[in-house]
Amino acid sequence: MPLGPEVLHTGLMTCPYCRRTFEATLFEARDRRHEPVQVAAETPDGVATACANHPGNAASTSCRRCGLFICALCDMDVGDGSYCPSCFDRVRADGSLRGVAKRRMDYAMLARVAALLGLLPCFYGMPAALGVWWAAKGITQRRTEGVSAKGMVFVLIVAILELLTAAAFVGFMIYAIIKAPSATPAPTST
Amino acid sequence: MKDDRVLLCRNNDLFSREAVYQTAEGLDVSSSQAFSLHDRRLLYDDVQLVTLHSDRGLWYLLATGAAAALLLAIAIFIVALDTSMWAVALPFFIFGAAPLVSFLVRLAVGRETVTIHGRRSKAILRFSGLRKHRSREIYGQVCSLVRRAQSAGRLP
Repeated sequence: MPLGPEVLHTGLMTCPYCRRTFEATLFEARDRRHEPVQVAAETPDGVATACANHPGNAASTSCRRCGLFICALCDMDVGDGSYCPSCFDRVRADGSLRGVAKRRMDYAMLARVAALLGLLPCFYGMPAALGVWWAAKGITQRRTEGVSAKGMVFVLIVAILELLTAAAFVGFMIYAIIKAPSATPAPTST
Repeated sequence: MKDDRVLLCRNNDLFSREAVYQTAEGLDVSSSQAFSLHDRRLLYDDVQLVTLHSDRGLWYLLATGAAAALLLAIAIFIVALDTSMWAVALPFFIFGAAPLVSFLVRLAVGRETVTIHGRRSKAILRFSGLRKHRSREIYGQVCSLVRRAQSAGRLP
């Protein structure tokens, strides 16, 4: 249960619910006040193309996706182009904007689980193959994020070894089937 | 791309993993759940409260205690049936000893938790009771960063 601001103070406190003591430091986060920005621009002859959303503002660019003329207020510049607000919402929702994506696949975890399942011989190395693929992607992902990829390299090596073991096992089985004596008896000459 | 961030803490449990990084503008919380990674940022400007408390973690104690009790009970049961079967009981004893040690360490020294409450989100940093000094250091460091960021914002 959250504690109200009237209860909280800086220093050593006792929680009124669980009676445990804890140390707290209170801060006053300042309110953000947004002033309206005047971005309307007029060309010298006064014939600027108007923004589709703000008719009083001159368009500064066009949306990369729908081509709509937009002013600086509507311009959602995300590094790989300008989008209008509605297109920005759509491309952000479908995850095609990599620069603003907040959710992505955890290839490292997928690779770990695949490598673990690859230890079971009943799957004939199929999870190990996926493990190799996901570990490679996990290494790239970790390097991009500036996180150490040593653990992923270890998982990749384990998955490769599992894959080789599975390949050897399957190869041995095929060899055994080919070389096995035929079950049908050889015809006898009378 | 994210070279400027410093890892402060990793919180791993049975179902999720979380890493908290310090950046120039705030704390980056990267959590992994159900094979997807989710990033969020808690800006120093938005911080309202920072707390430091110690607890033991009931679920952790229950899980490690139950696992240790089960595995050690199996080991004792096997040895009680026939002492010559100690080799069969040995793996159960080894795998039971690890959660038992975790259980006893947590029971003895507890766990330190630093919680940073923002306006819209919060970051939780958990440390073993053996790293009390580190948790206090992080608590002081975060408070100092927040104080600096918020006082800089108030300057005319």
